[in-house]
Amino acid sequence: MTHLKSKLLAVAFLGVTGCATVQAPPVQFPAIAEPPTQEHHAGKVIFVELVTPDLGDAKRFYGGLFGWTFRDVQGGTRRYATALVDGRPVAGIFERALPETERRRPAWLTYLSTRDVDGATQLAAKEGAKVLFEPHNLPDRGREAVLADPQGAVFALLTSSTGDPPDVLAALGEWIWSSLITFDPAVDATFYKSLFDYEVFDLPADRNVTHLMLASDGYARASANSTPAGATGVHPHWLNYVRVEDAAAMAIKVVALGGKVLVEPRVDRHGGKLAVVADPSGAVFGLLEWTDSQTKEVTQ
Amino acid sequence: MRTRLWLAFAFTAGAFTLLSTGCAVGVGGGYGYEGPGYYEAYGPGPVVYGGGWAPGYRVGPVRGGGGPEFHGGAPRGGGGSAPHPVPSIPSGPRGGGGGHR
Repeated sequence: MTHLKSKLLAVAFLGVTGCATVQAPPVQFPAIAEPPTQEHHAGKVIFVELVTPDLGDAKRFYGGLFGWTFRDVQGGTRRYATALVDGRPVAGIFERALPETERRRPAWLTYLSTRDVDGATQLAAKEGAKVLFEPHNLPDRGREAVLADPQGAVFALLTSSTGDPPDVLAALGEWIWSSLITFDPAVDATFYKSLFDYEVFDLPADRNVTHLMLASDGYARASANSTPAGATGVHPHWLNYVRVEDAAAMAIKVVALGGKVLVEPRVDRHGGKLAVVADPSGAVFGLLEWTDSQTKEVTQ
Repeated sequence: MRTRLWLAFAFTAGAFTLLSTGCAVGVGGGYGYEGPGYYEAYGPGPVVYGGGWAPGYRVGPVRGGGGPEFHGGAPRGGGGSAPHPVPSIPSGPRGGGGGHR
């Protein structure tokens, strides 16, 4: 009888592990450009993706804040949704439980465009980056890899199979800007320049801080900034901004929806306001005003 | 004896199955795989900006046609390229191509 129980236990264990493998196919991550563009803009931030413990909460927050709509993507036990603005993909949201024992936080992952993920990954590793996820294919999306730059900021490389989103003004609710907050912007600018052949501009800034502009194809793609004073414990990271009409009003809305304001709305380089906020799960992102008017001058 | 062999086989095979699907693989710096074919982008800790950013701390893009401070600056490592204004973000309308550098 004991033998029989043991055999049943063993068979059950094999069955459970085998079923887990069979019944949880990976999510089929969708294309990032709809309709396809077949454009490629090296060094452009072309997609962002959130990993968060509760997809429903994230939908309520971002849908309520920006009016994003969502398209669920089936993938076995995995839950993933594409966020849309006017039917265009703007982000991906992936659900994964975050055990309380883990000292980690939900975060937005920044995808930078490259024509050659493998070559860029090799070059990045040679220049001091850490490869966190080797180049791999995702059937509908393209080829991607995930790395940490030489100072630790995590980013992804992507060759989109449907091309990159076009170089047009971001609509309200779409991502419009990205900043790399890092210990030594010059070191990181050199690193990213080696990958994307950026032009790097040194902008006027306060003493002890650096503000570099990274450009490609004649467009500003991102900034590289010193870690702000007083930001103890902040690790290098990419910070992405959604275009909004009124940053102050949106910051209030963030709080009403359960998020937090980390940097109060303030006027920045472009003459409009920006703010830095966190969603209820702690994922950080920015809000940036940008008017269509070309007559608005830069203010200090 | 046979029972022990059975159990050893089952747990070895089960553990191998779990590991081979990536369920228990961790990779560097607080980040790791979430399973076959996907990367888990959780960050290593909370972002704290220590009460905000100083008034002169700026991260945003410039506007095309902005002030003189943005003109004439040769890009770093430009290889002798002529000085030119710091470019702005794309501002062309959707469907009309990019615009305003």
